[in-house]
Amino acid sequence: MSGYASNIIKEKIMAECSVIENLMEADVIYKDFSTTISDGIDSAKAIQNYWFGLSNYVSDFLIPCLNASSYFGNVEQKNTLTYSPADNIKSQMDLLRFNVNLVSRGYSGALKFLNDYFSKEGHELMDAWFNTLCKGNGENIKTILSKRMETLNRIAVEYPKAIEEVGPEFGFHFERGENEKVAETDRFTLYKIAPTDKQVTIDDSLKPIVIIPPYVLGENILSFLPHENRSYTHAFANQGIPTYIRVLKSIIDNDAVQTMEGDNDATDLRYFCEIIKKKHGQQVTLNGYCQGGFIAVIDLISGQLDGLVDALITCVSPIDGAKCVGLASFLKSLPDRYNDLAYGMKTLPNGNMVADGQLMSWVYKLKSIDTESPLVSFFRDMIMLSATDHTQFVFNKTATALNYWLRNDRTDIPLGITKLSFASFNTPITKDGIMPVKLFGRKLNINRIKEKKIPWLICYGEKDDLVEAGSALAPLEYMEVETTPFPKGHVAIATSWSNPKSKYALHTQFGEKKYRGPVKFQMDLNNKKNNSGINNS
Amino acid sequence: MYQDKRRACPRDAFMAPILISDKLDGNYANAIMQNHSSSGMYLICQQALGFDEGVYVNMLESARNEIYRGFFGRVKWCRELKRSDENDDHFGIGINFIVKSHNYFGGIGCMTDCCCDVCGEKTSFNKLIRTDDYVFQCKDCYNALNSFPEGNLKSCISNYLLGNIL
Repeated sequence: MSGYASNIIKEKIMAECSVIENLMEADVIYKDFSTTISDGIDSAKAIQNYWFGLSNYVSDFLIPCLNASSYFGNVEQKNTLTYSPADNIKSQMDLLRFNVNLVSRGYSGALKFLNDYFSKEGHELMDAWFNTLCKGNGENIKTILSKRMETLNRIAVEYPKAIEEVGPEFGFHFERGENEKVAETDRFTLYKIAPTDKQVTIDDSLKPIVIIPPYVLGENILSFLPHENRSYTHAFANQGIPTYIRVLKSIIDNDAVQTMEGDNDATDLRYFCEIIKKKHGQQVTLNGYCQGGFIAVIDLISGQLDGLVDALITCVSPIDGAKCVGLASFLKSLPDRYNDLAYGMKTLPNGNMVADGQLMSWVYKLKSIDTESPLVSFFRDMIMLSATDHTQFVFNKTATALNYWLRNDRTDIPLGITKLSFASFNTPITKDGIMPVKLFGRKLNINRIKEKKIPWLICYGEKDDLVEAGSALAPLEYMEVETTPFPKGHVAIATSWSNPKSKYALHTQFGEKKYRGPVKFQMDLNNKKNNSGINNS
Repeated sequence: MYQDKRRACPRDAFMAPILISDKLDGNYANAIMQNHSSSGMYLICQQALGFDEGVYVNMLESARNEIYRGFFGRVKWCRELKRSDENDDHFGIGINFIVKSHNYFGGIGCMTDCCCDVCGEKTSFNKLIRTDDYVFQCKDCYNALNSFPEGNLKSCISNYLLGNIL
């Protein structure tokens, strides 16, 4: 057959099979060997990235799980001998039922999630195939697959790097010496926060405030991205308010921290407040964030801070932990024998026992296992990282900073402090206002704040599902308290609304009821004092 | 700076663009500060304001050594000015400061960069879409997430974006 004739036949076939031509044009059918090899390498890389990325999420979840198994084994070795065989079998059967329920919740949650994910992906892939075969206007299959490969590369390789790189911008970095170290005890250091706005100077004649961060995840969340103007603590300091923060020393390096009790917390805080009062000639506002708010409240009603603190702010604080429906009901669903702190304790090389911080956070994950399983978290982040197709892709700094916080700031917690929180989540405040914990061997009554006429602002997240509004607002059952709801969830006050340019900026009033942000509350306290000319020092 | 004997505080004739609003809802109007003192400000804008009405003011440029960026004040007087071709602002307003802030007042997304909660892209507040849960998303992210069916996936992402993480 002549070349001319064979060309005509080829053209005829191509004309009849334009689909093949389209596939070749879209590089789905390979024209040369090198494309085949390069695509094969890309596919292998994508598979590697998928498993590598997923294994990171799985190990984040499994490491605390393995630790928990080890603590469980240690405690059970002792407990098995102290319980009767019948009790042992009953408890273990209850635990098995609990675990099966947990696994099935996690499994069905992940399945539902994946179903939603793949139903959308399926539609996209079908459209892409149609576009490829019929030369449609939309994206072809090769483009879609390239994008998915890029996302897998991001999540496995680039995202962890971006999380580490945000470290220098996240948190206080006291080691840089930018904030004055005012005082210290064996357990805590008190820092005075310098404004990040270089045009602002602290006015020492203003009413000072001491911020008490949570033990669980440390102080750095309160200085989220200070140089992007998103820092709860700097929101005060940048208004010229003398702002102090009490920082827990490293639990690994300090025996005094490992063995501390609630009483030590209160006496150390008293010591700091005395110093601040002396320096500024007026009483202090106490501001607890999350667990720090609960600690601030019990310190205050213990009487240790009398004459030193005359105003209180609590933000997303579980004042009555038993009203945290999610966590409290999760703990209640545990078989009684296993609802015990001993199963979360680890013994340090020096013999001191502390609560395992990773395990405490893991409990929160178990509580919401249907949305927090590693598979769900992996695909959630995949979606977030592929939501947009900007040509110059940049990681969301909020997400990277939050992940940096979760990865690096989880620390073990002193046993004495964990006992306080544990009691609070298991036992509600009584009708008479008696707290479920004692300090200095004395009962604590929340009504003491009312008796002392201490103004109290409670800030809470409207969509907070870790510390639900009911828990944060529990004091309303005992006294009149000013409340300020913030949109979003648990950390949003620190990460979103701490930005003075935000819609719910902390130094403003907002909403129909003119709710006051915590900074505004503090500024108004100061103005009130100035106007009345009262010096209560 | 000059001192008029009738005035309690010396005036600084520093002209600067400002944004004013009677509410913290992000709907600011442009205005021009004509001069100011430590206790008040003279500005001209397009609309008349009533006596004693509260006004939020945000500076668009820092005034020399001034460290204040946001003000809240009350209208002491308001006068209609002669219109000119080049300037449509024709109300002169004197404001007495109640609050001076080192930071801008809230709800000023129209003048500042805001971020999409999903991808972190900086964009103007007006271009962000607010969900019922108060999550702010750029158009691309909003469309991308909206293409998923309602259910576990969406509630999981929404919970993450709301900041319910520990």
